Amino acid sequence: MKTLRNIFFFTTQNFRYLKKKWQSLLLLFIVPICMIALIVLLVLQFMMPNEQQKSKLAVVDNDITEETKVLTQLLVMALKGNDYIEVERMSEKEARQAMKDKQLTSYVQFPQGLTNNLYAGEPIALPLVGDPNKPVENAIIKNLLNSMSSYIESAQANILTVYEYAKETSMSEEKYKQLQEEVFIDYAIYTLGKNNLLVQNTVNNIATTMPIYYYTMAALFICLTIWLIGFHILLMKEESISIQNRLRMLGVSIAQGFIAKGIVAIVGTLLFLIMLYSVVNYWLELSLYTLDYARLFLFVLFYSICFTCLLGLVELICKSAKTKLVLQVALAVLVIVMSGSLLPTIYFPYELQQLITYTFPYQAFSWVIDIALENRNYASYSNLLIFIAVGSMLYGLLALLLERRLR
Amino acid sequence: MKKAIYLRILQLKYEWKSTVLWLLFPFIATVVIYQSLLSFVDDSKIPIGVVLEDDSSYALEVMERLEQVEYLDVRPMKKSEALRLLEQHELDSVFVIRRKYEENIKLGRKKIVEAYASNRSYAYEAVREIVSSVVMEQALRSKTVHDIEQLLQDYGSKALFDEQAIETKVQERQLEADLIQIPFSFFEMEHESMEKQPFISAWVIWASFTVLSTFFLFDWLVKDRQAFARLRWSLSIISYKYYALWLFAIYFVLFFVIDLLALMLFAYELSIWTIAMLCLFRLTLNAYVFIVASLSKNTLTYYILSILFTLLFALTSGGIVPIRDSGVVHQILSTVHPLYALLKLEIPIIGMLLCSIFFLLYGRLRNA
Repeated sequence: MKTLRNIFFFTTQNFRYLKKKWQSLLLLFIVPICMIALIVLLVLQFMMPNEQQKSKLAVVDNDITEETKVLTQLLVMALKGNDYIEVERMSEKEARQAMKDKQLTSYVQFPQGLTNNLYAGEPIALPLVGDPNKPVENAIIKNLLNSMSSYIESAQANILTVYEYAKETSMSEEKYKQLQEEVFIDYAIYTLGKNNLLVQNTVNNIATTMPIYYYTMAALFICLTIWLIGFHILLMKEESISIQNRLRMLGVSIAQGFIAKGIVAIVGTLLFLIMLYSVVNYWLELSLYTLDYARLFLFVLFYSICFTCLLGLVELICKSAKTKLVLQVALAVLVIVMSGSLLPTIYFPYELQQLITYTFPYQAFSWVIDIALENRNYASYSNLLIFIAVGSMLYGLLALLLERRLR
Repeated sequence: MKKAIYLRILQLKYEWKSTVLWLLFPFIATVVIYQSLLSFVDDSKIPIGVVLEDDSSYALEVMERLEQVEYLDVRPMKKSEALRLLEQHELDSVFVIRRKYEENIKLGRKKIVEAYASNRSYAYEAVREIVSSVVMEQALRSKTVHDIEQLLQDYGSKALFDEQAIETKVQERQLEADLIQIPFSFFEMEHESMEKQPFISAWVIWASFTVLSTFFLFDWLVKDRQAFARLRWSLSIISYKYYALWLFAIYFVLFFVIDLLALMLFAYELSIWTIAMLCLFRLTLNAYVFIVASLSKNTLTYYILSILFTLLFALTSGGIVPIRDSGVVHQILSTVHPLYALLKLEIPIIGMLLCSIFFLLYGRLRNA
């Protein structure tokens, strides 16, 4: 009874405290939204093709022959549909200068004697040089060139075999030279038709036709996590030892104070989430049954409780405000990554995937997605409940231990 | 100056542990995060489903070749199951090798493999490239057989034609492969390959964390201005302003020495130019921190602000979320943002200007 009264008292205290700090509350509401918007905007400005902003790849041709011209042409043709990369022929001097002036993302060199080596079947190296300040663009270009070279490579093996047989026939030297060139160009163009070999389809799940639904859910989930931790940080107080002692003498334990804080944080977060969801749903027009909403609510609630337990553990272990803050933020990042809302877990290493399926962030997020977007009609809470039980027990034990020590 | 240092050392007696911890923190965090990113990149695989509708040796070869690719997790299965899993986003993409595959390839037909992707397939483009290159290899091989047959017929030496022999010859050539190599290097740098590198470099991680530790190590600016400390300043020989400005200079030197160490450990490039850039970065960053610290009233707000600023700086640094090297965003960031300027080797002029204006004002206003 006394415990309940204490918790109730501190809860109302915390609510009053937050009421006074409504400006920080407003800030807290906006921070995750702004952060996600910022990232989305930055990614969009990177993805949006813009004539001036195209990455430029220069071809430095040191072996000026018909064949290298064809190769350059191939490169240009292969990149025609690509909005991000532009190809230009340059001399080595020009390319170096352009690189210094930051006009160029990278340049590829066709070394001298390239054509002869191609015909003779000698190994060839095409050095690619990139601007160290643009690692992402360079990685894209490198992948592109690698895939192109693997096509040319397989064409090469065939071309050489044709030459070998051609040599054995009664062909005249002149005719052979002509054939060499013809075959080379023929095969080069044939490889360009690589996309015709595959029929491409897109599979659409009825409920999730638009990825925007999924991304919105992921964004909401990330917001939820950030708000939870934000409330905890807002309610963090540096109490002096004398006040702590007095509180203890009144029979107030660490756990009671923390539970009061957790209640306020969860209630506040849920209010925020409902507010944002109703605004977002105005556009999304996701129509769910009341039962689904109840299920979603329960999952969100259980997830919040699990996360709060973790935050509580950190709070018990750390003494200084700085380490506490950093560890809690690190924890939030870890939880967001594990939930799969940032990058779907199927791309994780296999062992990690198996491990993550048993953790509460993944469980909560995948259930939320299943119910909200995939029309799943049942829900099982047992896993999350087990997590809550284990988490709260751990917290209780550790809190008890610490209090014993203090006494 | 001596007095300011003496005062600080008096306090460090009680805080030296946390000071050392936060000085080392960026290094520890960088090593841990970079290593885990490395192993993550090494171990992660793209799950794809492959459906074999044909059991010819050509079809089996495609399967084998795909299984050899390191970063693919190839799962053979039935078409219906594969499509169901794809719909549930448990596979990245599905490739169906159609019936009569070998026959069709030999006839030179197109559209012999079906590729399926969902609207959340992140790696589809890359995987499609691999599959089509394998299929292309086989198509080329049969084209060669056909071409040689034609050639030999034209010159009347049909006796030389042997399909099996041609195929093995081509295959051998392809296996001995690596006919074309594309060695990659960064401009005006010697060694440094790009093999298996996570998108975020160690240097970016270190730079982001050093923002946080700089913020945390400047917390004395806030602490020494709190109510209980104010009283003491009125009794001391030196003023708070004198103390703050001198220590700002000393901390700058201390941080810069540690930055140089980090530059040697994590950066890909060591030149006078980068060292100069690092110096400018440190100067602007410290000035920003100084401004935030002298504007915040209590330590907790300051800590929260420092985490927010660190996140903001890290996200807009261009090292985590890529930013193009031209356009308005680039122009604004490169003049204001210390981290962005450091990573792109630009000079944060406006940032430095703002800071110096603040310092001038600071000298005027806070004569308390």
